[in-house]
This record gives sequence, C-alpha cells and structure tokens, in this order.
Amino acid sequence: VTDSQEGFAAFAAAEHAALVRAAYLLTGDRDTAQDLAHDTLVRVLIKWRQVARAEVPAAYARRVMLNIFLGRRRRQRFAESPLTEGHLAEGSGGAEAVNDRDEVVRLLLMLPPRQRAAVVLRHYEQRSEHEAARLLDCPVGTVKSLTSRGLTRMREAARETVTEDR
Amino acid sequence: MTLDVDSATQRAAEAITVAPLDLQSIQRDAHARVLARRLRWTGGTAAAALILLAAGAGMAGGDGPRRTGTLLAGQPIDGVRTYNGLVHDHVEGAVAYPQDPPVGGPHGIEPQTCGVYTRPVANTAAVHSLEHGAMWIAYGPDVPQADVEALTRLVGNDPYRLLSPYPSLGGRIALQAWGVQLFVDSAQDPRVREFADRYTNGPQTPERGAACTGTAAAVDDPHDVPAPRTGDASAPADR
Repeated sequence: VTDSQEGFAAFAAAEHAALVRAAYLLTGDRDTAQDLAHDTLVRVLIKWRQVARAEVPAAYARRVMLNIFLGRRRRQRFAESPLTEGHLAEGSGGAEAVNDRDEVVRLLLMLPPRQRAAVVLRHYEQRSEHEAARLLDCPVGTVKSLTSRGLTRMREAARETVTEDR
Repeated sequence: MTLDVDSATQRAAEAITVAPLDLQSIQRDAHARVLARRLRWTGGTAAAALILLAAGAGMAGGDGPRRTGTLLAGQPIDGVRTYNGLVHDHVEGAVAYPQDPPVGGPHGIEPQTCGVYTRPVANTAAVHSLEHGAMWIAYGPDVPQADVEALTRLVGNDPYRLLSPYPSLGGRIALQAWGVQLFVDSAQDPRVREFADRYTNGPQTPERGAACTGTAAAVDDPHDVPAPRTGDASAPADR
C-alpha cells in the first residue's frame, strides 16, 4: 500500500459519515444516501492522486457528490416529490406533534434538486455563499436566489401542512 | 409554525445511522470502473477485429472456426506450466504464493509499473501486473550478465513486459504471465522469445488491456510488500 492509498483511506474514514448525512438530506433516503456517498468516494479514489495534489479533497468530494446527484436528477431519480397525504399520515398526528426533524426532510424533497442542494450547502453544511457557488459551479447570485426560493417554498409548505392538518 | 432550517437539518442528518465505511468495496468498484472505461476504449477496436477475424474464418471455408481457434492458441510451448482457478482478490500485506515466483492469485492494490528493474520487485505488485497482461521475467543472481542484457533488450520499452532479479532462482530464469510459467537455464533458449511473444498481453490475461502501471518501488526480498512511495511512479525508479 502506498502513501497515496493510505491518504485516501484516512480521507474516506474522516469524510464518509459527513457525506452520507449530507446525501441523506439531498435524497431523503438512507440507503440511497449510502449509495451516493459510496459512488462519490469511488470517483474520488479514481482521481485521488490528482485530487490530493491539486485541492482540498473534501471540497472536491462535495463537488463530485453534487454532480452525481444533479446529474442523476435528469434521469428523474431524485426529482422533487409532491407532498401527499401519505407523507402526512406517516407523521404522528397533530401539527404540534409533527417532528420537524422528519418534516424538514419531507420539505426538502419538495424542492427542485438545485434548490435542495443550495439549502443543504448553506443551512446544513453552513457553507458561505461563495463556497456554495463554487461547489454548485454557478454565480453567487444564483446561490442566493436558489436558497431564498427554496426556503420560501419550504416555509410555505410547512404552513400549508399545519393548516391542512387542522 | 416556524421552521428553523439550520437546526432541523442538523438533527435530521444526525438522526440517521451511517453504515460503516467499506473501503474494500470502494476500491473494488473504483478498479472495476477504471477497467470498464479502458474496455470501452479498446472494445470498439477489439469488436471490429473479432468481426474481421470471424469473417475471414467464414470465407476460409467450413473448417474456419477450428482454424481460428488453432491460430489463437498455437501449439503449447514445451515446458510451460499452466495454473487455473487463480483468484483476483486485492489484499494488503505479503502473500504466501504456492509458486515461486508467483503466477497469479491475490495481489496488492497497485500493479508494478512494467519495465526493467535491477532490484527485486514485490510479488504482490508483480502479480497485479500479471493480471493486467504483463509478461514478467525474473532471473536469479547467478544468471550471466550477457543473459541479463539479452533479457533487458527483450523487455525493452514494452509497456507489458517486466524484468527483475529474483534471489531464490539461483542460475535460472523464470518467465511468468497470469496462470503460466516457464523455467529456463539460458536466455538463448528459443522458448524465451516464444513465451514473450505469446504471453505479453496474452489471451489468458484476466484484465487484458488494463495498464501495467502503478508502483515503481523496489524491495530487497520479492516476498515483501512495497515500501510506501515517496516520489512519482510514472517510471521505474530503479531502471
């Protein structure tokens, strides 16, 4: 085993859980998240020598993951899902009891993938607008509008959920 | 209802159970992807060649397919031992191979970069090169210098040929490709060239066309594993 392979093993061990958790917010499904993180690490390993030399590997891995996620969306795998009765029925009853931990995942899933990715980067990963722009490969202004439209839509949907439930 | 997206996403993400990292499956899939990419590259050419070959055989008459088979397989080279059912696992650390030098089986993550080495290379890396199509010539310390020079010329710059000393061989020369092995006493033995021609990227290669590049590290004893690399491995360090 070489230096570079050991470097990757250490990197993967350090980043794996964080990638899975972010992937879970993007996909809303634990198994899909595991797969997405796995595919991401596979691609990072293939390019590891260049990656380790050229840039911050963790940032590179995020970009790879977002590319896979947003690329697959075109094949409709991670498209937004409408909020249905079924989703609500899974909750534990009244609006007060709605667990905002599960709720936030359902709300994220209603967003188009790029809005979802922007919200996850800014509000979960706490990345700056500048970093998020680099990771999403778009202008800072686009990050701002994606995030604000995403949040607005989530807040509206959250209110609707509450009113419909009552 | 207010929605605190920052803390809600934190709690949602932290709430899931993350399965442990499976480094081996990541390595396996990365390997497979690289391989698939290379096959896609060479696949078109190979398919065209096969079609031409099949067409040629067809035109040659009723005994075409049989002739093609003979053409590809050739007559066995006298003295070549063949081994089937070798496994392809990637392992860390040394491997005790049943053949010495080894002809296949579990191997290290990185292949040995093909080329001419004047110090031994690790068996685990050389076996990975065999898997990718390398024809590996190992020679003992008592092999005459003139023979070593002849073998060096034979290996030349071929990207699928590997030459390295092998202490336990004494005065013998061992030629290996995946699953096949030939021992000779002299580089002048005509079977050396036959073996090299037939088994450099030979038809029995499991991952034919995969690159014979990886580590360029030399070792003191081939039964060791390569030391961590310090420099770039684009060319054998000990040419």
